[in-house]
Amino acid sequence: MNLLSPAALSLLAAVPVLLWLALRRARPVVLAAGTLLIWRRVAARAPAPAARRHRLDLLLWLALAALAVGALASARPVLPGAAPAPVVAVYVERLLPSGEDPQLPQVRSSAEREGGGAALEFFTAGGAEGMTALNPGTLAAELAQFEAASRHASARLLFLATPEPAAARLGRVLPRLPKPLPGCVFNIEAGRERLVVRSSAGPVTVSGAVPAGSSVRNGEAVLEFTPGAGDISVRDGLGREYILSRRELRVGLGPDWSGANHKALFAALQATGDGLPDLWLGAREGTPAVRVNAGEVADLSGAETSFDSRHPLFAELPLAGLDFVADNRLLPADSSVQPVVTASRRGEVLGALVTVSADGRVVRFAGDPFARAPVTAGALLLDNAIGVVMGVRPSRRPAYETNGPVLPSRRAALAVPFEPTGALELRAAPPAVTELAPLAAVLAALLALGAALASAGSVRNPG
Amino acid sequence: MADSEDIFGADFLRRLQALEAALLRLRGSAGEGVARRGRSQGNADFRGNRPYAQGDDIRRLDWNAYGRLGRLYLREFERERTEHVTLLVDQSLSMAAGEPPKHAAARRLAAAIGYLALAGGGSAALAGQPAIEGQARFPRLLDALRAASPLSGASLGSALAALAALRRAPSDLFVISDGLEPAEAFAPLAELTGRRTQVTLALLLAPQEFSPPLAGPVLVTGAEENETLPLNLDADLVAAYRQELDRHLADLALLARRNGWTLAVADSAADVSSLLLGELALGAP
Repeated sequence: MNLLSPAALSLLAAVPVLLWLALRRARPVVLAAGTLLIWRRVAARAPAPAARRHRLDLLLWLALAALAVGALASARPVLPGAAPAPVVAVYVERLLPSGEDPQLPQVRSSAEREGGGAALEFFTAGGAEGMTALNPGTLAAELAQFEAASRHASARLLFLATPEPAAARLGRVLPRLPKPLPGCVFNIEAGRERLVVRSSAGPVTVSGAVPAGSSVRNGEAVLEFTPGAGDISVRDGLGREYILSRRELRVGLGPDWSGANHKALFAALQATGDGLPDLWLGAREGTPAVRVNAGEVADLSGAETSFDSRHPLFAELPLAGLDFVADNRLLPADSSVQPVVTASRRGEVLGALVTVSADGRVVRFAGDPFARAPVTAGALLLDNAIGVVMGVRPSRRPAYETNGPVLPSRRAALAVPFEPTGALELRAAPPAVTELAPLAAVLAALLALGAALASAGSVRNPG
Repeated sequence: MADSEDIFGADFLRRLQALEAALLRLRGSAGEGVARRGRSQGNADFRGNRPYAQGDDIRRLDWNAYGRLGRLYLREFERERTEHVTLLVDQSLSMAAGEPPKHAAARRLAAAIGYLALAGGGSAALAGQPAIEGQARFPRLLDALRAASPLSGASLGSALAALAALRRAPSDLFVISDGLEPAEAFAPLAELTGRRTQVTLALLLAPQEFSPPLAGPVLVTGAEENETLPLNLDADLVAAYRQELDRHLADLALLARRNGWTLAVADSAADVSSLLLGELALGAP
């Protein structure tokens, strides 16, 4: 509130002017009479209005009040309220999925001690009971969200798994854990030939695989195993168990997949023919499927091939070892399929040599490039073709399916205690104020309206 | 003397002449002079007869002459040669109030009465001054009236007392005042009445004195008292004022009836002619 503002000053300056004009107006006029003979008799009947001589009329009061309140409104008065309790925003780095985190109660107690009575607001990735959720991501991304969401806070506390220099500028950084997690597994690589388990230092039990080596560096343990024939169990130092179930590709072979090259490629897949097939090779029915010799005989002498090298069918593929036209077959025209390789002669498109069905579940070859291609090129082409129809290439398909709790991040698993850094500087929150200027402005307007009405009334009833 | 020149200007004199003619017509109709309450019929004398003319008042036909001569004659009268009016103009400071000032109207009225008296062959005099005779000497009366402006310390009561103290009482006295005096101020008039003075009391009040304005808070300043009275002139107070004024005028009217005075109350802004042809000529309470 500032009554020295130009608007308030000008309104206040008008008050004495208005008062002077009103007093001048209210000053009694002199009425000349010849004699007071009659007037004295009248005065004896009615008391002299001495007290009313300088009576300030309603119009004046209203105008004065309107000016005063208008000046008050111009000064922007506020009604101070109680200063709100300071708020401390607390970021808790996620270690384990919600409900499994063993240290959350200790984090709350520690935050309350550090907060010194301030109101605490907790934030964590994914959320938890009593905590505001942040979108899970990298630590930097989560800290950026936390900074934005806690701008109103007086101070910040951050409970991190390991020291993070970038976090120190946000507030006081404390260790998430008082001691490292023992044998906390954060990564399992399960291949057909090798199993690698990464964890924090501590006891990790693996069954169904033979130990092949181990190392510990900077608190991170790397355990290597040779898988056995069945499932594998990995139990970490926190009692969490991961079951690795073997996953084999089941392939159904059709009559067109019977050559020597075909058998060699099938063997390279390390697939099995038992059970309901996950994939059909050389068959004329069933999906997903890779079909060969699906075209009709055509003269392709002098024909050239064209294809989209960015298609997944050609990823990492040595095209030089493949011949799509040697069988002199073209796929029948079909607008519902996507041509991947086409034959053309002197610029004229002759037809499709390879197509992918609209649903992506069937790859058709007009001839049989696998029959005569070098084994390496044929294996890569088949790996790509199966990847197109099944969504994942056999070479990239995990040998095991892992079942168990969600693996923590490496940061979480390798969390270590450290010396807190930074200070908790509780900024005094500005007291909540209520702006009275709008209310005063409305009141001034009403008073001015009243003055106008009073003025109109006095005009209607002069004297 | 700008004030006197205004009140007795050329226009005023022309209106006096018109007034005389009007009064003559009135006299011809009534068969006598100015008709005033209390005035006796014997003040007019028989002058003679003249032949009847169309339009003459048939009540004045002389039937005896018709019986003797067989022709219609009208009887004609003449006012007393010795009619003498005394004019007393109130010179108290209260007469200076009003818009226009009451004293201007009072002196015009006195001039008119004097003019008519001189025109009728009589005489006129301001109270305490020598009588003037002859219409040709009317300007001398005007000069005397010009000098009769309101004076500080003058009062109607003292003027009346001085008049009553004279050895010879006036026969026909015109008192022109605002009448805003205590009732006892008029006691000398009663004494003069006892000495066979015919009294006419003409009261002139300013329009503002009849109806004060609703002016709100005012300081009422009395010219005579040189004092102020704070009052709030609202509707109630103005009504109370009018009641008091009416009561005062009623007291004066009662006093006039008891003593046989002719009383007229008029607005000082009114025309002198209308006053003479109305209030005074036809009688007032």
